[in-house]
Amino acid sequence: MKVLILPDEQSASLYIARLVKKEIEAKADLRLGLTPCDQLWPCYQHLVEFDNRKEISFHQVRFFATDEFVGYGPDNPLSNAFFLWSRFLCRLDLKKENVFLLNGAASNPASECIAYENILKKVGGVDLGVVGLGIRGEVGRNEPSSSLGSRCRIKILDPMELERDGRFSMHSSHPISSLTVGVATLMAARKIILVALGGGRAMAIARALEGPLTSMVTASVFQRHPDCTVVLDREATIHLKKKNAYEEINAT
Amino acid sequence: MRIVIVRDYEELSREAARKVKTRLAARPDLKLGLCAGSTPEGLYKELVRLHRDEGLSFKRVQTFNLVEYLGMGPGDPNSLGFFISENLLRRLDIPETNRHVLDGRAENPEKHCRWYEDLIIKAGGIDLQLLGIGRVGHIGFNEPGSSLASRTRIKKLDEQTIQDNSRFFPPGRTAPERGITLGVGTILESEEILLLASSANKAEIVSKAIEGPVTNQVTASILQLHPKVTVILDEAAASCLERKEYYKYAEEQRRRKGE
Repeated sequence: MKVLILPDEQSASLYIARLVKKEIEAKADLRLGLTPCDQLWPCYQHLVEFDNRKEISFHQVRFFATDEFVGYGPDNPLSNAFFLWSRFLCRLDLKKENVFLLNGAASNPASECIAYENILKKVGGVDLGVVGLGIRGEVGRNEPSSSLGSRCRIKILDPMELERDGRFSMHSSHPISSLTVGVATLMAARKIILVALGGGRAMAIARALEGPLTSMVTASVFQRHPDCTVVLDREATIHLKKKNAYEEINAT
Repeated sequence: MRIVIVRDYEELSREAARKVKTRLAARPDLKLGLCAGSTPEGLYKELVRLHRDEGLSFKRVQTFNLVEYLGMGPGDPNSLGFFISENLLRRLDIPETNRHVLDGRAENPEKHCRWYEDLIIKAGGIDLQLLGIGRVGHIGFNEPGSSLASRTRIKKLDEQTIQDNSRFFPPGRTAPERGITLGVGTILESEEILLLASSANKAEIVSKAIEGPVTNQVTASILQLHPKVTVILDEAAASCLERKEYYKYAEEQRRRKGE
């Protein structure tokens, strides 16, 4: 595991975007896995800028995402697909048929999960997964106590978590469950960039990096991944014990 | 991991039997891994009842025993093979040839272990493995310190396990110090696993296994890595779980959807 510490959120976001850019430069038809996670929006904005300036092309890149709410189709403004499209994907010069997102409005969510795993298998798996760490150490919607051997499936959401999310606070109804790739699905990505920014994720990243392997912190599974880079800002490192072992990168 | 919390031991036994029945309906030639001990007794009783009263057939099922005491053959009334046979197998319609048992009196136990592993592989692997959990957190006789990649082998039993097993023996006779057990790696290869735990004296170890670190000190914790595990607990065994409320809520939601 390579742990990199950047001074702040801005520099970290740019750094991650450059890492992604480098991967696309090396492989134009990169299969890119995304997390619909707030902390990654600044990074996605940088990628849009790279694309607009023609520094890289997303023309052949294939996109995948980790999770979606059951019952929330891509047209629903509260869906992850809508978030990803409206804030990121629609601003890229990409081919629509190269975007593979879980459909929250699928009539049979369980088969949608199986179909998604099959798509991943068919294309040969994800080359690079950009994974935002959740506040409780989860990756995707693999909340605490998720099997570390799980594949894409339906996960019942913890109502307390949704409350914290805030996205649904103004609405009378909220999703009960989500479709999410499993921990084993994420582990199958050839390369992982795990991102934790801000003090709110400091405890979670400390448990994931320096704690035991446990399904209570599903990101801890990346301790077993052969090619995982962890990008943190300084605020996220306050609970880490082995700071000397990690690399500090000063903003350029 | 799907965690189902039920009221008491009776409900746990019925719920577990329902699960076996469902799997059996989908797969009449089910390869079923059987455990010994007091926890599955109620489940076995319920399966026998389903066979007797509702005609649930096990004719094409193959069974594999999880453990045996070293030095005891399946005919020994204190053996675990005998326990499983008395409580379950001889009361069902499983042909004798489909019941695969570990023999603690095998002339060459190491060779016997290898033979047993081959047997499982040749059968196409275990579809559904039933497990209890010991107070030391073991599955099978994979005592604390066991390799998490182990195969079927002879294992020296933990002091606590010997003590716990002694209640099944006549007064004055101590339980054996060694057992034959499927390995942790062997168990993990099962397609699906059903773990049962009942009563308050299991509560602490259950929370360690489900919510603690993956460690060879609690071999059941390795189940966190398995893609398809159902844990059925009674209230008492679930009492130390940190996320208990969530498990109950999630199960209620699944039930509402008719899963």
